[in-house]
Amino acid sequence: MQPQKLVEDIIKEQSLIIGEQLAKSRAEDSGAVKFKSSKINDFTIQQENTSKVIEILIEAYEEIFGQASVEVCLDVMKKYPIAEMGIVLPEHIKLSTLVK
Amino acid sequence: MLNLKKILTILSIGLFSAYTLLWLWLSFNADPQSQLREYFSDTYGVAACFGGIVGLLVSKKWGGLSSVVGRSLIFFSIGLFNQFLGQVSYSIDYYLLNIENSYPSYGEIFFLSSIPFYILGIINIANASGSKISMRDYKNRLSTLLFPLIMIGISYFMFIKGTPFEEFDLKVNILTFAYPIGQAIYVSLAILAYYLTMTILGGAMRKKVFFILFALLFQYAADSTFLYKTINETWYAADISEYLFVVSYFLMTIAFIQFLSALEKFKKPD
Repeated sequence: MQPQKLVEDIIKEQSLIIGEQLAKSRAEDSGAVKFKSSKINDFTIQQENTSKVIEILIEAYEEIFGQASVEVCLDVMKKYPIAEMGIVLPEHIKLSTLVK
Repeated sequence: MLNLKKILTILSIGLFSAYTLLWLWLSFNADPQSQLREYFSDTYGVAACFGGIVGLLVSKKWGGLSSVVGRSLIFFSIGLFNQFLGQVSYSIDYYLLNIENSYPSYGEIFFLSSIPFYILGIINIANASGSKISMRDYKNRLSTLLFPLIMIGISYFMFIKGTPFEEFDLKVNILTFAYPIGQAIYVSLAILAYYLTMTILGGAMRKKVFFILFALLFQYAADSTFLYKTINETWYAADISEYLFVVSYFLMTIAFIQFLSALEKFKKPD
């Protein structure tokens, strides 16, 4: 599983809800990523630990619509194999929430 | 230093205050048939125009048509702007074409079309607020049918039952059904949106989303008061129902500005 793809999918899905500008700024301001250009898929992950990146990203979006924003992130993660998600899932989010 | 949010807030409060003071003055100094009341009645729609423009400006900052929140703000704005266009239409009939009581006129197209736009706005903001998550529960799916049916039933008994349809032409009869039913649908969806999202919506947007739903409830109250007074032939220009519209337009405008202030909150300080 490529963390870059997962993070990109989360940011893209959030941009469909809150707009690309806010979705990117939340991701960047949280310290999870740094964008190299205006393209939504052109960024570098700023943390070594993928689980930490996902956690920071979810917390950043949670500040906007609360649990509703968290669910958007989880819906993205549900599209990935559950075995892979178990490795990157933040500790405070149970694996059972990813079961479809 | 004045930023966009402050400028819009000052303008909307100024506009609301001006019409409030005018309405209060008319309430104590002008009899129901006074021409001065007609001027109030024919111009307060400018508050809806201003609100609609504000909403469109704010929607752009939320991604416009490309995002769910942006789309909801656009739909709410168009709905609000159509209130202004409806009023302008009747003013054209009265002042330019010298038609005194032109109901039902083409202005009703604009007033009526506010309803589907409000409905689309509510559906989109509810989606952004997590309503789809709540809809996974079958009880909540049932409530999506029950809420509108109950409101339509109440509206039927309050505004439609007992109407002597044979005394009016087809256009009037269609509007007699369309307004209460349409308004019942949008207000029930606003209540439903609150019900479906109250446990899942959080963050900075919680209060702002609920405030925009409240503004819609208030507009429904204004619409219902207007309908009730019209049916009972107690309506007159610049009466309480028209002031309630002024208040509802102001509340919607403030709701849009709240969405703008949320964006400022998320900006990282330099």
